[in-house]
Amino acid sequence: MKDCEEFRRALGCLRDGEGSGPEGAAIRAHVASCPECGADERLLEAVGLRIRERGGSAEAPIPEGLRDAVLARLRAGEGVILDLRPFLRRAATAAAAVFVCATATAFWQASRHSVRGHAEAGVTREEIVAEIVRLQMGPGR
Amino acid sequence: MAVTALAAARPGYRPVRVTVRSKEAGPAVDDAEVIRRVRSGETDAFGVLVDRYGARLARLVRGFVRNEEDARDVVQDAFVKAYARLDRFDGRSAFYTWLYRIAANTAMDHNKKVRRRPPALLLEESPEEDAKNAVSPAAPGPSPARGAMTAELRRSIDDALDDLPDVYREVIVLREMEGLSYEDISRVLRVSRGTVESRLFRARERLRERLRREMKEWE
Repeated sequence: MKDCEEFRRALGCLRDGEGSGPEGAAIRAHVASCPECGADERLLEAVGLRIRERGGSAEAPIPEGLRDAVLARLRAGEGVILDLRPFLRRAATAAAAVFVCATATAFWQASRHSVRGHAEAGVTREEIVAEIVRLQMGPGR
Repeated sequence: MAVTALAAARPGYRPVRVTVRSKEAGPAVDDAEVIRRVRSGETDAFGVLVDRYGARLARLVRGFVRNEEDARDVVQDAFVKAYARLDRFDGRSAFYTWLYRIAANTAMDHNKKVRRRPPALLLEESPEEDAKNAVSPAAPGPSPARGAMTAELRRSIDDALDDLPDVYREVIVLREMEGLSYEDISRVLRVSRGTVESRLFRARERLRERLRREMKEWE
């Protein structure tokens, strides 16, 4: 058995032309017999009517002077917006490339100095690699 | 005779074959052809689109914006924005669907600004206008009490609509004002059909609850 909320949901769809058939008849019958749902339905009809009133007649002509006003604004350059997207895309790509190059250079230089320092201290390359692996694996592994 | 749509130079562009006969003398030109001409630098051709959709857009905007003068400005702004973004219109939807989206957003942005304004700057309609436009879900038949109530109800509906969150307001205005199907609304708002149905239900529930509460206070 449906409650009033379910009927209201279904009724909204029905009123919007999004439902029909035998269920539609049952919904209408409920609304006709339920004073609460009937009052709600009339209230929402008033809302729909009011919204349409706010819009004015469907036959109303185009607002006076709209075309001229829009074209005047376009001729004055208002409709032209500077599209910065291609520039920003290129700038972002360049910045990313610079960042990658700078990081790689810094890393290379640091590792070079580190190897040289260790070599001077008598540590072999294999020992350095083993130490790096140990550090990356974390303590206790 | 209608001029056949020409595909725009842009790759992947699919022409929209909505052909609306102009009220002016001469052949009707479809939206795709007009858009192609505007894109190629014929700014004045945009006037055809303003003529074609201006009245409908004005009607739609009035559903969002209370003040007539503001509504006129919003319609103008929406067209200017549409012109500025015309390169981004890919033709996958009808031009008018795309224009709806711009107009609804422009109207709601406008409302956000208005809400920040002091209330004294909001222009209200005259009592005569109130009486003329009065609506009532209550019992039919003329009576002084009914007249007062309907004007009050009308104002309450306006207030309730204005206080609805944007996602609910846009969906109910598109439905009630334009009579768009759920499928069409989902295209305009770029949400699923289920979302449209759910938002419409919630919008109506909010309005219903608020208006019933207010109507009880009048009793």
